[in-house]
Amino acid sequence: MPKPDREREESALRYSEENYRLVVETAPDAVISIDERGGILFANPATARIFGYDPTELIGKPLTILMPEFLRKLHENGFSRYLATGQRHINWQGTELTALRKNGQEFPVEISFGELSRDGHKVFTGFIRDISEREQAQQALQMTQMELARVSRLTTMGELAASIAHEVNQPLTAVTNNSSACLRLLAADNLKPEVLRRALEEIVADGNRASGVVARIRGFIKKEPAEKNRLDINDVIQEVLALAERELYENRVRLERQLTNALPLVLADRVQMQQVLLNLIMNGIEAMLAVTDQPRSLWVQSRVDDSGDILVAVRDSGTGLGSEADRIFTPFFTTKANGMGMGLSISRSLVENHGGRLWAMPNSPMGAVFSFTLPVSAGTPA
Amino acid sequence: MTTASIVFVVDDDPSVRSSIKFLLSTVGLRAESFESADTLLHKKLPDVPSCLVLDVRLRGLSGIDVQRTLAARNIQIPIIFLTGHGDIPMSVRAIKAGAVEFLTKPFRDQDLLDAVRVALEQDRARREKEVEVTDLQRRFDSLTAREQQVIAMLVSGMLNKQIANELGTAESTVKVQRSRAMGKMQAQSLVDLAKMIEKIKGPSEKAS
Repeated sequence: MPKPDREREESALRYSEENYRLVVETAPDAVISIDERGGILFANPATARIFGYDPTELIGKPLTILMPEFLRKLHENGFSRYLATGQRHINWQGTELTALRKNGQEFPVEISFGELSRDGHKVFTGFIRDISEREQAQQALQMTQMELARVSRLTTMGELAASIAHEVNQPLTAVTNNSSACLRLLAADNLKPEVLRRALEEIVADGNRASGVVARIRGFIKKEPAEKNRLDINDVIQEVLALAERELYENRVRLERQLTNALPLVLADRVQMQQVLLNLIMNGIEAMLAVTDQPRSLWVQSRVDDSGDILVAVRDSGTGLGSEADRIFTPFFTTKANGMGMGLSISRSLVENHGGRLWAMPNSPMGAVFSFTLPVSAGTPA
Repeated sequence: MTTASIVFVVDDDPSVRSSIKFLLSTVGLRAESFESADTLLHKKLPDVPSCLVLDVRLRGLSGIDVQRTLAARNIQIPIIFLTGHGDIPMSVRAIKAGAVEFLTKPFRDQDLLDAVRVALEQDRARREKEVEVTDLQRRFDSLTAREQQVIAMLVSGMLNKQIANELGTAESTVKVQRSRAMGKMQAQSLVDLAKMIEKIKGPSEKAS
């Protein structure tokens, strides 16, 4: 009697095994099992398509050959820590990492894995999904958005510039016409005092008009009323660094934070401070794009300076300020092909509206340091 | 500058208008100014050599619109455009549509005065030619139908005899009609007459 039962059990087990084998072999994701030493025990056919290795040539090899250099040590440390303590240092369900193909190409993957024990030994099995296409689509979308923002900003600035040109050119035209006419009459000995007086009055009026236009532009730039709150500048720095994270990563910029803990609070407009910091960080990144033979490093530092103000410094290892150092804060001055030349001049006026200063210095041995200060908010325990 | 020419200045800015008038007055040019394209277009322009100094950027109709409207009304006044910002595509369009000059504000006084001189000269020459053509047309219209016919045939190169044959009259009759027509047209020779007919027919034939 028990025999047919056992046969049925065996048949069910065989079916189950067959079923799992089929699932694993037809899965579009790479399925890889490793032992406790990190050696590869099994790899399914999709592994060949994704990584470029034949599954058989992977057996016995360390898992780390599927990782880029910079992740190998991290993986080994994390793996041995888990074996020793049982503490997971990454999410086991759907972590995004960088993987390495046989041809040396790095690509983004999403990894999920689990473990089971056999004869007292642990076996880990991971599902690895190639997400390059998804990433590319996201990047394309982001590029489009950035381009759109840039174009709309340029259009606005272009219109503004055209309108300023027109507004200033009108009085300038009148001034030059009136002056030229007087010079002509003077040369012909035919300039009557009454005519001269009227011309000079008009010249003065048009001069005042032109300076009125300039004053209005200044008003326009500071139009946004600042909403000042007491805040920790380190929070603002962290928010902006989160925004710039992708930009830093994609341009292979190494970021170093040197933030002083428990800084006194400042009274500032959060959004305006974000604008200033983002501007300095993006400038720093752009200044390093031309650097290909050395590491690109960006340091962001916060501290209390000698006079008791909060000081924030953004330091890059880029091409530096060169001979243009004096002019970078001038409106419409730019060294960039696509720049409007407004970023630094606006940043400076924002900082000055907060009672602080913004300045630039050369960095040693290369690059630039942009620093700004903000006064400490009254009533803060220093 | 010579007799009774006038420069029309259209700019929405009163200081610019008066300063241009002042500048033109230093070389003895008379100017009349308008604050908009509309006020200019509603005015009957006097029948003297004139030109237009026109800001591209006006409230309401733009300078380019004015150029187009005048062309549609067959008013052939030369135009000098002024612009506050060097708009290259627009200046190319304006020049192609027959503008004399395109100046960016603020301009050199000499540049404006030179452009105005060229424009007035151009308008004067056009007017002289127009007067001559009108006069010739009037003379031509005073001919009888038969005289006009004879002249047309002569100019096309036919001999008296051929014309007589064609019209079914005597050669002597053709000779009389011919000399009468030459007299009315005040033509000294056959070549002279041919040139006159050419001038009358010229523009209308091109147009058709």
